[in-house]
This record gives sequence, C-alpha cells and structure tokens, in this order.
Amino acid sequence: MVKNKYKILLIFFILIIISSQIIINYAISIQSSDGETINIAGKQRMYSQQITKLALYSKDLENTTSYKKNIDTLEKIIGRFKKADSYLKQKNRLQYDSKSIDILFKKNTSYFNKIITSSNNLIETPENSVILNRFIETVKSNEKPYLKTMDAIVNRYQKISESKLDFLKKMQYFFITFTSISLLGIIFFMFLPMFRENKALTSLNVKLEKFKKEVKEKEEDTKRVQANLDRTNSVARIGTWEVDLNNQKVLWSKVTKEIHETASDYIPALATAINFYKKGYSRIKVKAVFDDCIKNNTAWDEELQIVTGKGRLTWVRTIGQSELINGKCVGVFGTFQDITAVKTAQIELKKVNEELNAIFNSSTISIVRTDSRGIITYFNEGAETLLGYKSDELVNRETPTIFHDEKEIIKRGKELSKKYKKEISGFDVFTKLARENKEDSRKWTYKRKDGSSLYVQLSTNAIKDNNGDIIAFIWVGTDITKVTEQNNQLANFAQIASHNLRAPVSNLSSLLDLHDLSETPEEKEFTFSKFKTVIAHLNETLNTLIEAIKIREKKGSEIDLKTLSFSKIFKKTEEIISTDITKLDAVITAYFSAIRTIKYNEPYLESIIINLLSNSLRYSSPKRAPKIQVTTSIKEGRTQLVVADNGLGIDLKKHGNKLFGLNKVFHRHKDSKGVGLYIVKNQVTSLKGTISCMSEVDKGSTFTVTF
Amino acid sequence: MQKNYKICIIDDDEVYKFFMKRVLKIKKLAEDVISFPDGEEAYNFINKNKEHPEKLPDLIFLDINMPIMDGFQFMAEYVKIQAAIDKKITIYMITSSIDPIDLEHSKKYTEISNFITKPVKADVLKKIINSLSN
Repeated sequence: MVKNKYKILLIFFILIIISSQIIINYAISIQSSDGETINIAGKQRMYSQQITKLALYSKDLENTTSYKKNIDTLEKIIGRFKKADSYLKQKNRLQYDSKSIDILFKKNTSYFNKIITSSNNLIETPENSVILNRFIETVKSNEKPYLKTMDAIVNRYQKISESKLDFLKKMQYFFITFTSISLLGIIFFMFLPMFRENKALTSLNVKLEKFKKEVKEKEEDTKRVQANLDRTNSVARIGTWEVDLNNQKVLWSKVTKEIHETASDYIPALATAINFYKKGYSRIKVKAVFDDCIKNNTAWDEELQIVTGKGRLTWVRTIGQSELINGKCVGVFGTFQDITAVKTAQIELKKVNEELNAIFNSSTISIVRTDSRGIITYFNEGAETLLGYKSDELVNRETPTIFHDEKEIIKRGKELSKKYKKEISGFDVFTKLARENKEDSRKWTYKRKDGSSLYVQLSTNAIKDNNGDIIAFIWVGTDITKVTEQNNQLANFAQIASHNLRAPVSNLSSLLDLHDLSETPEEKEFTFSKFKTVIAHLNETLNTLIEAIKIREKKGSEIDLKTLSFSKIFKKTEEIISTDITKLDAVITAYFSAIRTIKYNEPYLESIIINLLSNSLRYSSPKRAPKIQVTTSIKEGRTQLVVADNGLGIDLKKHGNKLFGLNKVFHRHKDSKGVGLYIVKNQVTSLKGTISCMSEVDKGSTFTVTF
Repeated sequence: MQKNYKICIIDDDEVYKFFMKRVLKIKKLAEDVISFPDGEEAYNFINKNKEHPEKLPDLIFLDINMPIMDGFQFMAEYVKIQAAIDKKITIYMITSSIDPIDLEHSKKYTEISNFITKPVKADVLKKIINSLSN
C-alpha cells in the first residue's frame, strides 16, 4: 500500500518535471514568436520612414538619370511594407486576437492605404510631376500619424509579451512548489514504513510481554491449585456409612447425607443408595466392588461420581470393607468423602501443565531457563530450532553466554558498570535488571552452533520463591533478523532521500532566488540555464533510485535465472568497453577454468562484470598500464568471481563504509558518479550474494563477488 | 560599513557554489570568495597557508557529503592543525542532509558554529556574515 503510494508520488514527481519542461519550452517558443512580431512591427516604422525619405529624394532627383532607380527602390520597399503589414494583421487575428490592437490597426490602415495608393500611382506614372507632388504631400501628411499608431501597436505587443513573461515566472514558482511538496511526500512515504516497522517491533515487544505474563499467570495458577489442594485436605469432609446385610438396612452419617444432599431424616435403601452413583462407569464400578467385597471380603477405595439429591455431579472417594462374623459377611461399612474440589483442581492442574508445556515447546520462540547461577536447566524446542544446539548438550552444562556474542556482552557490561558504578560482567550482564524486577528487553545477537548469527529480541525475568529469593531466570527470545534487515534497508533508502534528492531540490529553490536577484536579462538567462543542469541531475538520481527499487522489490523467485557461461558474458562486456581498453593499453586476462558456468540472471551478471571492469579501467594508475585479472573460484561451496587490478586503489579505512553507497566517489575523475557499485551491490544482494573489496592505495583493488 | 571578509566554500555541488558566489556578490556581502570541490583540497590549502593568515578565510561554509574527504573527515583533520593557525576561522556546516545523525555528529565539534540545511537564503547569509563582526 505504502509502496504504491510512494510509486505514484514518484511517477507524479517525474510527470511534474516533464510537464514543467514542456510548458517552459512552449513559453520560450511563444516568447521568440512575440519577439518576431515586435521586430516586424518595428521594421514597419523603418519602412515608412524610408518611404518618406525616398519621396523627398525623388523631388531632388526629378529629371535626372538616377530618378528611375529611385522609383525602383521605392517599389521594392512598398512591396516589403505591404507584406509586413498583412503578416502583422494576420498574426494579430490568429495569435493575439487583441481588440485594442485591432482598433489601432484599423486607424493605421487608412494612413497606410493612402501612402500605398499614392505611391502606386507614382510607380505607374513616374514621369508625371503632379502625381509626384501629390505623392510627396500624401506621404508627408500620413507618415507621422502612421508612425504614432505603429508605436502604440509595438507598445501593446511589448506589454502582452511582458505579461506572458510574468505568467511564466509564476508558473515556475508553481512548479517548484509542487515539486518540493511531492518530494516531501516521497520522503515522508519513505520514512513511514520505517516508522511502521518500528511500530511492528514495539508490537512484537508487547506480544512478548503478553506472552511472558501468560507464562507467569500459568505458573501462578499452578501454585494456586496446589494451595487449594492442601486447603481441601485439611478441611476434608468425610462421612461414614454401613450396610446391615441381615436386615437389608443402610445407615448414613450426617456428613454422608450432606454429601448426598438429602434431607437429614432421609433413610436410604441399598438399591437407592447405589442409584445415587452416576449412571455408567461409576454405578457399574460401585456394584462390582460391593459384590466382590461381600463374596471375597476384599476392601475397596475408589474415586467415583454421584448425582446428589439436588442433581449436582460430585466427585466422591468411597472406601469400604466387609464386617465378618464367624467368617461370614454380615455387613459392609466404610467412609464417604466429597473430593470434588480436589478432583477439579487436579483436572485443572493437568490442563494448565499441558498448556504450559505447549507454550514452552513453541518452535518459534526460544525459551531458556537457568538456575540462579546461570546454568541452563531448560532449553525448549524453539531454542533448539533457532540455535542449532540440542537440549542435552547444554542443560546442566553451560550458561547462555555460549550462544551470545562476546563483544556485545562486554559492551553491555561497560554500559551497566557505568550506570551502577561498579563492575558488572559475564552472566550478571543479563540478570542485573531482572534481579531488580526491572523491565529488560533488548536486541541481542545470537550465535548458532554452526557459527552463523541471528538477531533476537530477548527479555529476561527472574523467578522468585515465596521468600522472594531468586531461584531461576527465564529468557524468552524472538527471532527479529528479518525485521532488523528490513529496517537497515529502509534506513539506507531514507538516507539516500535525505542526501541525494534534497540537494537538487534545494538548488532549484536557490536558483529561483538568484533569478529574482539578477538585474540584467543576461544574468537572468544565465541563471535560467542552470535550471536545466539541475533538473537533468535530478532526473538521473531518480532513475538510479527507481532502478534500485526495482531490483530490491523483485523476490528471488521473480528473477529470471539461466545457466550462463562466464567466458561468453566476459567477451560480450569486453567488446562494449574495447575503446577504453585500447586507449589505456590495458591488459585483461580471464581464467574461468575453476568454474565455467553459473545459474544466474543474465543482465545482472553483465552489469556486475561491466561495472567492475570499467571501474578498474577508470581508476587505473597513470603511472602504469592497467592490468586486470578476472577469475572464478569456489569457496565453501559457493562460486566466486574475483576482479583484481593494479590501479589507484581506495583508502578503505576512510571510505570502506561508503564504498557501495549511492553517489559516493573517492577519486577526482570527471566520470565518477557513484552509481555503478551501488547498483552492483543491490543486484548481488537481491540474489543472496555478497560483494567485498580489498584494496591498497596506489597498489590496486580486488573485488570479490560471492554468488 | 562592515569589514571585507574572506569566505571559503567547500562543496562539490557546482550549482550551489555558483549560487553562493553570486548572492555574496549581488548582496555585496563579500568580495573575496574561494572554493574547493572537496575536503582534501581545502585541507591542503589551509595546511599550506597556516602561517599566512592573510590567505586564510574568516568563514568556511562546509558541506558534509563530498568525494575523497567529506565534511566530517575534514573536521577531524582540521582540529589537528587548528592550534597552529593564527586566525579565528568560523565554520558553518551547510548541507542538504536532513539526517538527524549528521546533526548529532556535527554537535561533537565545538569548532562548528552551526548546522544549516540547504537551500540557504540570502538573508541567512547576511546574518551569518554580520555576526562575524560581533
């Protein structure tokens, strides 16, 4: 959802930039057309003046040889004058449609026509001095008003053009504001998921807390049930009964009657007494033991259920034995006890225990219990799955420090020592807060048995006995590796937005300020030309980011994999950069004998090889001819591609952490943009590989891609 | 009339440097502006001229993200030679970064007077330069 919004914003952003370009270009073309109109209108002024000049001149030249030539020139100028006039009128009609200009033109036309008619007359009959005189008069009297109206027209055009310029400026402000707003939106949506991830972490913590509470509650339940049991025993309600077989009489004591919930004067018979037992197992059982007792003198002690006089189901313990006279059974007697409370408690206890076990054996959460000294006493299935150790390997042998990162323990120890102003180290680091009943839930790195690591959110609690002495610690940990990695990626994106996108946008705003401060048109134009540079830069950054997002968003299964031959791909890239190779006199050797093929994405592999090779060429040392060696190898079952050069090298102490970042450059080179390694890193990691670099300044660099 | 200060801009962004120089000139804030494309070149210049205070700037506008030697790496080197410099140099970090980590980092250096985010406005520049006289 967020990603979509964010994509829409990106597209929107690019659209704004493109449309602003189009509108500005369009405005510039209109501006130049306006310029042309003003220019032609100005020329009309010049022509009319020229006609006047020629008219006066003709008078002087009358009857000379040059007179004819003069009339020819007049004809030419009149021609241009007419052409320009119709151009202006048509353009006004088509492009400006301005009423005020129209009125001016109408006024202007009468003067114009008079000049044209009289000059046409003269051109037709140049020898007629009357016509010549009339022509001179007409021109003299009409030129001034014509010039005046023409000036007014030029003025109007100028105003129209200025107002357009004004509008263009406003448009610019509008676009810049819009661009900034949408960019802020993009940045906001970039941060938003991070915020949400943090929320996810918090909610994970809450869940963990809830879970811990549950465990605690269950343990308390157990205690409570146990206490119940004890209490019931001490106030056990035990009644007695006897059966006189000779008289077929049954006697119940007061408590026995109470247990049966019958009236105190109730007199039971043998059959009715037995019918109190719940139908089914209880009744069949009691009949069986009773008969057996009479026949074989065997005693019984059973826990059975009766349905009381008030219809309640009650657990009872019935004990009975026979009464013998001269070896003959004359009666049966025994005790009768209400054990409902005990029985319910037992059943409840069993249930609680089962639930507790289910929780402890949850396979996604690691639960470890230690004694007060830190020796592991319990290691659940979840811990086994997460850490790769078997319970038997650790219980009664090790402390949890075995699967913790030693450096983290030391670091946390220092923090705690500083806080409590005394030395805290080793196992105490984990239990210090728990001992004081303080909340202790933090991120730790767990080391698996195989040496690999994972991040867990670990919370530690102390279990105390009734005296408040600590008898055990419970460590509950959840795997948060995935969340942590996502967080890191998002932080990386946010950093790019913060550094790489803000720069051009703030430049746009600065240039606008400067545009306003500029006084001469040349200054303004120069400033304006910088806009193009900035917008081009912005475009480039966005394209790189979009490409990186595309790479990251693709899941492993969506990337098309093929079996590729290293030497084929290598040859292809070598051809692409062949000009540079020749120019630099570089020697590139390739050995793919160790591993010849790989199942990988073709464009990615091409990009990886071309970027690493062209980097080696670009940052070759001017002191020596570049030598680049490309090899494949196998390490711990994984294919590696190694590109080693003898170039400038990189100071990894200074720049190591930025090496694969966007727009990070480390050498003064005109083509350095800091994009290549950023894209390569994204491509490699999207397919679960790694890329690393070893380098020595002025010796060379070696890049290793592990696929 | 304010004193004519020597100002140094350390930044790899050409458009930004162009803007700064023009504004300083148009607003008549400074005549003498020098600039360097990265921290290393600026550091070399200062180190070479540490005994010639007249050649050193009164005010440095320092960017963070630059190739070769970035703003913080420059600061780390600068504080080492600062004692040997016989001139009070005021340093402002001016960057397009809005990353709070950068702001925190810049607070570690007492030599950095302030942290300003781009775009820089002309009146902000004016204030900074006027504050040098106090």
